Amino acid sequence: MPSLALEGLTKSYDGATEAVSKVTLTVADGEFLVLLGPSGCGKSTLLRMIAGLETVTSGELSIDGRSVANVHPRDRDIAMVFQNYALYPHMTVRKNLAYPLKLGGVPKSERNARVEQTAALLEIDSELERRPGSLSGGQRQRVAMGRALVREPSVFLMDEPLSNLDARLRMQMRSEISQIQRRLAITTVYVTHDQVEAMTMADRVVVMNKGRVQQIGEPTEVYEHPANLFVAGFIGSPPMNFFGARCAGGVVTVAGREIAPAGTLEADSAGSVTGVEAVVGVRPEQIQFGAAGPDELAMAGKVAAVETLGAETLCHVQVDLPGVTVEAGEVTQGDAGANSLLVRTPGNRSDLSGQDAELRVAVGSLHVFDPSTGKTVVSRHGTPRDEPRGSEAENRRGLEDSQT
Amino acid sequence: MMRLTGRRRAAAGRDSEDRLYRSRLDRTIMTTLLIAMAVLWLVPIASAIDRALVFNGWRNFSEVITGDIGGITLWQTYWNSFAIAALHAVMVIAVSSLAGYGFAKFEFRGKELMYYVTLVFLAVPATSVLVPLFFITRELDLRDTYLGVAMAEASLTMPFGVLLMRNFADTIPDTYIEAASMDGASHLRTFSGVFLPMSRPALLSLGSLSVMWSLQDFLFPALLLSDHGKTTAAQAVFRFKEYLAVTPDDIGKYNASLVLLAVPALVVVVASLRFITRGLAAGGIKE
Repeated sequence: MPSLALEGLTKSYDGATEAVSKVTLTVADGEFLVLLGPSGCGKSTLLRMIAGLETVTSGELSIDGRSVANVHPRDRDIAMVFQNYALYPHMTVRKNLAYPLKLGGVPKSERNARVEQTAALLEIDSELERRPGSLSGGQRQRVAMGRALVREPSVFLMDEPLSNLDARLRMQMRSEISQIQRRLAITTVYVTHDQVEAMTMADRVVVMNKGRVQQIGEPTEVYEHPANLFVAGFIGSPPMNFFGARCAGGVVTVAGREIAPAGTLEADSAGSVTGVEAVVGVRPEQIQFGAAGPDELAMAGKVAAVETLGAETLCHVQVDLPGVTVEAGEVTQGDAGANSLLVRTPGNRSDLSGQDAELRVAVGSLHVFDPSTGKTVVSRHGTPRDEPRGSEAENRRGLEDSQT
Repeated sequence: MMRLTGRRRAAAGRDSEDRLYRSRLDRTIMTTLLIAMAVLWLVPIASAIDRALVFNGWRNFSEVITGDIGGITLWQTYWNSFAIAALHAVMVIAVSSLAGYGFAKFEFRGKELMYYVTLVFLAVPATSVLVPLFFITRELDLRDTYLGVAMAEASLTMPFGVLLMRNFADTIPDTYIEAASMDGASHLRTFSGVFLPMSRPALLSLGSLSVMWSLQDFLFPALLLSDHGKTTAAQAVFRFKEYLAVTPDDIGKYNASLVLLAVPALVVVVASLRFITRGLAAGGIKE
């Protein structure tokens, strides 16, 4: 039985615009689900609806099979870690941890035992008599997790818990949270705008934009098979390169070379308002320098700028391909002129700066998108994308619902 | 490394000297102004102490402290003042903290209108509600009681209290309230267990100000307390005149009583100045 189930969950503040629109998904027992998206995409609102801190406009929400859409937060058997931790500053760490148990009527002896046990798990047992104000950022983070874990809830919610930490501590806490979650096998819904957190911690990722679910899947699946232009552009750092392509005679062609069958693209929407017939996307690491082979697309250009990152180099290469402007998953403008491609290559290649370069990219690694709907027509490795990908039938249905 | 040429170094030196000179000049002017203001404030107090020493010197003070003046001692007036001030502060804190919490953390129809109507009463002078308050207190059978005076005073202090507490409550992130709610706390438990302890600076400030204002209040005790035994320190300034300012010999004692009657409010201000400033400043910062 799924631990958490959302069915057409919708939130509207004014009755006209929807902050969260028809979200349908299930979270399995012990699963780590990450809600990922840019600021204002509705992911925190969705989490707060699950927590009971926001009312549900329409839809169903159940935890362990029990409908909780109209149940008070304290009666939902959930716990939450807030972005600013929300540790009570006037209480010691011990009292902070014990507070939910005290309110729950847990006897003092059991309360103390559970506080000690949780503190030991999170390695904060030596800080129990200190106040939150005297703790470091990492320690506060652990106390906030402890206060949520000590209740042994059915579902554990986390709202951007690492956003207040510095980069080094964030990396450390990322790994610790993952380990604790797996050790305790506690169902977790985690909100972040940081795709690195999503990719490294999640069992499954829910990518959201403008209140709607864009794609649900395992991190690698979302990266390799983005469902649409938004996911393709949002997931990946540096982001995917996009350029325009022709679509005629049932095939998509780039620089005169056939790269994929057009499928539904030609019949549905080729030659849309943007003037772009098809949008092709390629990850920066899929482009290589050198002469193209038989299954590769050849491009010639000039390296305009080089960014050396130590282990790898990012090269901005000007190529003679039609450019497209993609904003928040929508093609806003076609450009027949030159385009700049970002190429990620290993090692230090600062010698390439200002050089003419030949580029090659395997045709099978190109993604083709419909410029009018933004949907993926052909995914990497040539996988046709007639149906959106999802691990479960419910997720597929939810995705379809949310995209209508 | 950048090296300064001789001319540049000299210019930089002159610049820093100018700044030093200006800051010294500023400091001197400010200190002089502050001393002048302090002297101006001290003149009436010094004059009162000087008048309190006429005829019998310091004995005027000891006689006022130990003696009975028109059926009441100075200590009794202190007690009456503090009893009313404490009741007043408790009422103001209780109502203002609840109202401030409600206005800051709850959404309800007409919230802002109610808040602004409350604030409008900041502008209502005590004299304009004197007569209604007199009749209300009489109807409630609270004349000649500490509670009656404290309630009347609280009616005028509360708008400020609500303003202060709402401003402070606005600086407390909603996530604390939400966290308490998720931890299983009821609204009242969240208010008492989370909001009140976190509002300590504002509550101390409001409490101190309430006590101070009540100790200084002459109007409501004069209106609502006719029982001599319940005379407050501020009211005694007027009542002692009937008994002490009749003979030239007693003028010194009367002036000594005036100085001593100012002591409670002064002590409260000195003791709580830290809380008052901290609480007022905390309310003004959005963290």
